[in-house]
Amino acid sequence: MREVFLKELREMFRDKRVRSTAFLGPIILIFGLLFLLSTVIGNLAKPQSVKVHLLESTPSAWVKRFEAEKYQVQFVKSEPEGRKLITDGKARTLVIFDAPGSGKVLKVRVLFDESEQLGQIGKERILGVFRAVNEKKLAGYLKGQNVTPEMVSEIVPEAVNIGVTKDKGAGEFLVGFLPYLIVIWAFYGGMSSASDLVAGEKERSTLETLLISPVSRTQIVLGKIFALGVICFLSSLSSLVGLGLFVGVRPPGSEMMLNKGLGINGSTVVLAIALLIPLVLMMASLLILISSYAKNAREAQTYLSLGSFVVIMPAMFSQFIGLTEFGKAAWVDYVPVLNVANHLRLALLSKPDFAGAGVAIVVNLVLALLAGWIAVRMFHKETIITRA
Amino acid sequence: MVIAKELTKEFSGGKLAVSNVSFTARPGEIFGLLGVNGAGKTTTLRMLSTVLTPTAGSATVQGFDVEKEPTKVRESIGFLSTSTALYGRLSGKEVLQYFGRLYGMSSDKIKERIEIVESLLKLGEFWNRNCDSYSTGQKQRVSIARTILHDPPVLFFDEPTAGLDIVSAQTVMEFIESCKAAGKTVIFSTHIMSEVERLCDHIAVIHDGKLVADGRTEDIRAGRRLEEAFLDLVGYKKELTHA
Repeated sequence: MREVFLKELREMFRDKRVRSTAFLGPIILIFGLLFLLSTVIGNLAKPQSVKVHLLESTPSAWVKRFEAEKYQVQFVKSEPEGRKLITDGKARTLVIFDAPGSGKVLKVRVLFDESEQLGQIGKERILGVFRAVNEKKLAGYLKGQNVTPEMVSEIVPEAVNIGVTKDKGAGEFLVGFLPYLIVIWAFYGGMSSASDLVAGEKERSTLETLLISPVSRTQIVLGKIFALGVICFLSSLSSLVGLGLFVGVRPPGSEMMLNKGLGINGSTVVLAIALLIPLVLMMASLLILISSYAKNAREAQTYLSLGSFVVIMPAMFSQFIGLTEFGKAAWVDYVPVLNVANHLRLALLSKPDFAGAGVAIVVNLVLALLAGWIAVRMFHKETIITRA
Repeated sequence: MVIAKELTKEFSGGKLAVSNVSFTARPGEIFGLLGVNGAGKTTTLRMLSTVLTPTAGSATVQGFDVEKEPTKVRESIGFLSTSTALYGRLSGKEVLQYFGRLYGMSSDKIKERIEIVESLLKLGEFWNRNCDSYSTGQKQRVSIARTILHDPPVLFFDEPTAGLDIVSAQTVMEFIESCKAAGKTVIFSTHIMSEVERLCDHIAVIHDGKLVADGRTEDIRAGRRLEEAFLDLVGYKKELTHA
C-alpha cells in the first residue's frame, strides 16, 4: 500500500492539472472572489459613489443638500428624459419635486427600476435623506413646544449583544463563507486526479499491469484512497491560503469583511483538522469509487460532475444555516459535508460543540469506510478490467 | 511450466469466451497461442495471470494454482503486451523501481536487476526522462525491462508487436528468443503467422473460445505454410472472387 500511495502522490504532484486545479486554483479563486466582493462592498459603502438624477428645475436648496450628502448630482431636462435613462440602465434614480399641495406638503417622487439592484439601493438611500429631514423638522418643532422627543415616545428600544462573539470570533461573512470553502475544496481538489487514478489507468491499460503484480487489490485501492485524500486535504488548505493572502493584502473594503478578525485559534485549528481528516477520506473514497465504476476518464468526469452536486448542496446550505433554527439541531451532525461545515462555523463563532463534532467525525469515518469497502469490492470484481 | 486443464470462462450475460481449453507450456520452449481477434487468447492469458477467475477448469503456473495461490502465481510471471502502458509522469527508471518494490524486491536487488536490464536493453540513454516523452520503441523496451525485472520463470506475451514498427518489433522478437535460451516458459499469443513460424516450438490454436489444435509447429503445418494450416483449422472458406 505504501508503494502505491507514494507513487500516486509523486505522479499527482507532477501533474500540471493537479497543481493548477487543486492547489493554485483555490488560492487564485478565493483571493479573486474576496477581492471582488470587498471592492463591491467598499463601493456600496461610499455615499459619494451614489448617483442621483434631478430635474433642472429642482430647487437649489435641495441640490445643495444632495451635494452636501456626497451624492453625484446629475441633471435632466424633463421627466421623460429621466425615465428613459432609468429604463436604459444609465441612471439609478430620478428625484422629482412636485408643486406643494393644498396642505403645503412638499410632494417628492423617487423614480427607480425595481429590477435593478443599484436602483433599489439608491431609492432607499434617497428616502433616508428625506426621512432625516422630516425627523430634524419634527425635533425642531417639539423643541419649540418645550417637548423632548422622548416625551412623545412610548417605547425606546435598545438592542444589547450579550453573545460570546461580541469581541471574539470571526465576522458574519467569514463564518458563512470559510466553512463552505474548506468543505467544497476537499472534493473539488481531488476531482481531476480521481478520474485519472482508476478510470484513466483502465484507459491507458496500466491498471492491468498493476493487477498482475503481487500486491493485493485491497492494498492498491487503499494506497490510491490515501494518496487522493492527501490531495483533497491540501486543496482544502489551499483555499485557506487564498484567504490568508486576502487578509495579508487587505484591499479597500476588506475591513468590513474582516472587522472581527479571523476567529482562528489553536483549538479551532485542531478541531478543524480533526473534522477534515475523516471528511477528505470520505471524499477520496467516494471519488475512487466513482472512478472505479467508470470505463474511462471522460466517463468518470461526467459521473464526478454529477456527484459534485451531492457535495455542493449541503455545502451551500451550510452558508445559510445560521439564518435557520437548524444550526444546533442534532440531525445536522449526521448529514455528511453539512456536519463538518456547521461545526467549523460554530468553532469560528468561538462556540465549539465538541460532542457534536465527535458525532460528525464518526459519521464521516463510517461513510469513508463504507465507500472504501465498496471500492475494494469493485476492484475485486472482474468488471474492473472487462468493463474498460 | 504452465498447465491449463479444461479452462472455461463465461462472462455475465452468458457469453462463453473460453471453453474447455487444455494445454501445457514447458520451460525452454516458446508456446504459441494462435487465434483471430476475439478468439479467446487474451481471456486465456488473463485467467493464467489471475486477473480473471475461471468459471470451470483449472490451471497451474510453476505448480501454483491460479485460483488458490494467486499471489504466488503473480510473483512467478511477467506479462507484456502492447497495451500494457507505462506511467507517463514517471521516468523509466522510476517505473522499474516502483515495480521492483511492488514485487517485494530489496533495494539492493532492485539496483542489481536494474543494472542488468539497463545494459541488456540499452535504456541508459533515455530512461531518466518521463515516459510520456518516449518513442513507441523506447516505451516497449522499458515495458520489457519491467516484465523481466523480477526475473520471472514464466513470461506471457499478448500480441507484443501489434502496432510496433519493424525495428521495435525486432527488439521484442529477439528478446523472446533470449527468454527461451534462458530456459523460461514463454507463452506467446499472436495472430501474426510469420512470428509464430520464427519463434514457436509448440502451438495451440483457439477459435471461438475452443481449442482446435495443439501440437508441435511442424506437426500443425503438416508440410503446408502455417498460414494455410491455420485458415483450415479455423474453417476459413474463400468468400470473395474477382468479377
